[in-house]
Amino acid sequence: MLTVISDQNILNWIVFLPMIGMVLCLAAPNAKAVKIVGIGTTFLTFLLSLRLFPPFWNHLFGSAYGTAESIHFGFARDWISIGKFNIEYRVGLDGLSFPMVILTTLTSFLAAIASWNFEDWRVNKGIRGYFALFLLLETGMLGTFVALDFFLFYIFWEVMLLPMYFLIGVWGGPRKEYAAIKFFLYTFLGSVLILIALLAMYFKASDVGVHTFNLIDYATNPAIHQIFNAESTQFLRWNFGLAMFVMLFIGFAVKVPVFPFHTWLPDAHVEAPTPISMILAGVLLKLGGYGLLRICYPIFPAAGHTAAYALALLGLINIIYGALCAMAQTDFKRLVAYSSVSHMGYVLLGIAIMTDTGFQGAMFQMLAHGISSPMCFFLVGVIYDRAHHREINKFGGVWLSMPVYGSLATLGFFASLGLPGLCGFIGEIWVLLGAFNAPFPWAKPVAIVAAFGVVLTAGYILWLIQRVYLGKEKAEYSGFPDASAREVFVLSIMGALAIFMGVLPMFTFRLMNGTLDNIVKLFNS
Amino acid sequence: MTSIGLQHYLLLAAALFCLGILTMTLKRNAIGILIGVELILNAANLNLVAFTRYRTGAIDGQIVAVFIILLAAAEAAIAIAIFMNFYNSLATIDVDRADQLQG
Amino acid sequence: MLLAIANSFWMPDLDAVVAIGPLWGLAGTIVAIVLAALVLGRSAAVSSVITIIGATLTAWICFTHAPRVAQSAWAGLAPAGGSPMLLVDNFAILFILLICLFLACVTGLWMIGASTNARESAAHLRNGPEFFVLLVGSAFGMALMVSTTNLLMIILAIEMASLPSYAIVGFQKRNRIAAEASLKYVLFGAVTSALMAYGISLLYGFYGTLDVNEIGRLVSTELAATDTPAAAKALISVALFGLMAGIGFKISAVPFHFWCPDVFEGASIEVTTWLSVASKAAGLGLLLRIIAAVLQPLAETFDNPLSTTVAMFAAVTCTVGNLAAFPQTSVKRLLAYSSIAHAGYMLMAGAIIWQAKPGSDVANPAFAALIVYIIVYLFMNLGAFGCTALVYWATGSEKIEAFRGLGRRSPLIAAAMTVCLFSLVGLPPFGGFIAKFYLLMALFKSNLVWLVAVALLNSIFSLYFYSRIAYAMYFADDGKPAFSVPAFGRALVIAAAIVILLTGIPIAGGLIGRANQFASHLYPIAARTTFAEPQAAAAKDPIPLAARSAP
Repeated sequence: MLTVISDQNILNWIVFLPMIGMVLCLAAPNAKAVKIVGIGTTFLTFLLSLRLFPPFWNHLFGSAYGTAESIHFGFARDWISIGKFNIEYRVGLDGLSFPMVILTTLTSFLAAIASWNFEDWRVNKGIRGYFALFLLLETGMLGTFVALDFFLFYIFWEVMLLPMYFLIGVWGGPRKEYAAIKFFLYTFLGSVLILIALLAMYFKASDVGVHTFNLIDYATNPAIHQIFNAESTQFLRWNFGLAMFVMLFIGFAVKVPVFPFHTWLPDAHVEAPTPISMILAGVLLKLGGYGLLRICYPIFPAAGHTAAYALALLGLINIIYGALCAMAQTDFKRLVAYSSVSHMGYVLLGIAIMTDTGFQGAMFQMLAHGISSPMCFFLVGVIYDRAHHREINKFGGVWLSMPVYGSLATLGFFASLGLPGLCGFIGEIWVLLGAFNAPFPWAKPVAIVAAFGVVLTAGYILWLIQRVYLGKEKAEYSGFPDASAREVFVLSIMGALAIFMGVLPMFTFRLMNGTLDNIVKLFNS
Repeated sequence: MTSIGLQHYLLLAAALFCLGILTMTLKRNAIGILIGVELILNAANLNLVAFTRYRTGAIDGQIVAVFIILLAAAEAAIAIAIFMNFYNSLATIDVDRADQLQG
Repeated sequence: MLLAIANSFWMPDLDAVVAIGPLWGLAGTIVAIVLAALVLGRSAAVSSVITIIGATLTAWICFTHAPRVAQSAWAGLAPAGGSPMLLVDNFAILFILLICLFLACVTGLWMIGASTNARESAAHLRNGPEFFVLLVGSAFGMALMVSTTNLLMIILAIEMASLPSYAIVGFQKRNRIAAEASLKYVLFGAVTSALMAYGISLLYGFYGTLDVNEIGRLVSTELAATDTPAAAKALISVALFGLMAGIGFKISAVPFHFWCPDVFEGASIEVTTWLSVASKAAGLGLLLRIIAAVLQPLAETFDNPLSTTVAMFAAVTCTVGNLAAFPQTSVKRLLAYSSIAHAGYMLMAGAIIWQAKPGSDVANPAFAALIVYIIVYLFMNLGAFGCTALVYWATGSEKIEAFRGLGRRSPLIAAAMTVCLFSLVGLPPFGGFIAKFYLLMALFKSNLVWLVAVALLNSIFSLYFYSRIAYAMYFADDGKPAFSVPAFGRALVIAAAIVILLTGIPIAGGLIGRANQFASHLYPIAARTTFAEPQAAAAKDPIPLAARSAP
């Protein structure tokens, strides 16, 4: 690789490379060049992100959360600093963010490829704008994952908002405006709460003489830890830690999405174009879980303990309610969207129980869902491009006319279902095991009820496969061309990863376990 | 008979002020409103002059009064020009007719 | 004998004359326009060019001036023993600089309008010199507003800023809308200035001085004291309310805001742009000086009634502005309500109480936050009104429908407008967010958490109506043909958008740092009047300018 890229600045390159691509896209002469630049940029970013592997593969996680040995590729500069007031540009990677970065670059690359047939879309004007916003979105996502300064995190968090709004609102389906503004308002409401928490945390930390927005400091500085988690610390009239935890949780819960903040999700997914749905399901939802693991729990473990019951209950509702809703859908894409709600419930449940196994399961489930869910959305997109509708009940026997597509589709949906040997299984079983062994009296019943979610998932997915892919071949679908080479490429990468993660889960666990252990250690210290 | 003192002036000014406010609120004619404004300005002048005479002894209050008289004249000049402009397009200076801009 | 008379007049020394250089610059511009009209004939082009040159020159004077007065901070130009009439400090210099820059931009906008041959520009072209004399005259008044704390000067400055504004709003003769707008403007202005005069007369009577700082100290003592009779407190409140009426009118704070949407809609668009920023900036500058003078001695007691009152006014102003913007169909009127809302946000800074600690280099956060906000707000409004103007000149309509499909018809203008709109919402990574964030930090620090919540809730409201314009530009295309806009106009709005982006991320630190620097030199009142030991005599004694220029 080029010599200008060193271990110190590689994260900056990864985060801002899409932005360079964005400028190139705007300057590109024709539609084809725009697509090549767009896909090329995401591919280069993906290649660059592969260079981040060695320290995590070699299990260099340090002895404690946030120590210098545990954070790799760190880079920090003063940004807005006046006297004691100091906002830094501080980025770095640990086991929490590294898998997410890889997931983001990969999903973006695949979603960019999925945008190749832009000309055939319902709205097919303004390809420059589309790819420019797409790449800006990638910068926002990557920046959020690598930021270690709360202010920087918030900026990147909000940078994602506008591109997403326009990507849904301009290139979306029939009700795109409604979906776009709903997404925007929900997310903005959540981020406003995060902003209040950000201010309150900064000033509370200032009270003990530490003027910083550094997320690692918040978690590891004993003085800050003490004042943040003390019973006597107040925010207005509430307990400080709990108030912050709840505000941050709502902010992140909108993204996850947690019941009852989830209603934007089906609308956004249904209206968004296929690649945007892939990004939304593959990466954006993970930001909520990542935020909980990065900010809420390391900094406010006491509040996490207090709120565990409520969070686990919400997770349970997500699992069951999402599955039941999915079962009732007749729109293919809406069904997949509700299955996301259900799957993200496991993530919340795994996080809520605050054990090693739970966190590992939650992280793994996020990654697994990050593979299987974009795959499902892409599968829906493939059939939609041909049939121009998504009514499940009108389909039937698609496997017969499109055998390659049908096989890959089965693989994708089975991965989503949680079939042993595929990625979804590991995440769910880890979360359920964690919940069963968690040191809470209510944990066992919750785990048992959650296990029934697996049955419901199997129910709606098998029923879906039966209605769409099996059965007699219908005349109107018999002439459909099978999946093209481009589609097979995208699907087979994700399918291969789904199998790989399902068969060799330790490979994935190895990349993140150290950091998750360190976070759990924080709770006991 | 008590002698005339500061409070008499202040009461008179307050009365003028109230009359001015009443005029402004009750009149629908732009000139009428302007007259109300002049009443209040004169109440202010009376206050200033009386305070200077009875309380502070310095001259600055009276200077302010002179300036306010001046300002009142300038304001009236501009206001009446604008009223005439309004009259030219509507043939009235009833402020209730100024209802094109709403919402 | 003659010498004795001459000596009895106060003659400013040369230093003092130089110190108020920016004011000379603006006054000179007016004279130059009049002279040019006499010598070269009545030409709108010549007047506009002189205005731009004069504004730029004045801005340059301010720029070179700033380092010289950096340490001076607090002194007046006044006869010995009198209260200071004019203040030359960095706060004033900064505001005059901003006003002049904005004056140049608005004149540029006017030139674009004149070149596109819009209907209303005919009147402007015919009476160009008058228009620019009035425009620069109001700028002069605003420059006075931010450089005084003397009650007499406050009245004069506000009138100086208002009277020309009334005239330029109604400048298009035979235009019914403009006539109505100027009628409403002049009536509101006259009423509020009368209230202000009455309030000032009472304040003068109670405290026997025209110096706001001294009045502020006495007022706060009396309001804080428990043995002050309720009637006296009520009278003081009436007097203060009168004073606030005049300033509230300038910044269109609720309940003195009714003129604002009508005037903004009726006036021609460059006048609207001018009033939406300059008049508010000047009003806020003045207000902050007064509020700081009144609140300063009360520091450390967070729950004082004055701060709460200002906070209430700010919250109501902000909310009313945002709610009323909801149903608007005219972009100009929508932006008028948005400017009321933003006046509310900026007014929040007025509720911040801060005590300068001796030897501390921390600036008053209210001033620093307001300076950042105004700088960003200036560019946001310039961009938003500029785009609206360009669309209006190209399509003849300023309704939201006129913006339909703008993303296709004129992509660059649409992009600039989008940046301005979302910056007005206060979304990162735009400058509007940095401004709002810094303001919220200052509020949070002053224990005004409820005001932070109000501001943030309002941001969420405002997202909805600003995004309606974005919606029209990108999501609702009615297939009208593309149009081109003057290159200069495009450059203007794109420059504004770029500045907003720059202040959002790369130079945010520099902006806040510089604002702090300006603010830190502003108000060493703590050094001048400690609460326990009133130094009335010292206050009246102006520090010689020569001594000030030394660091």
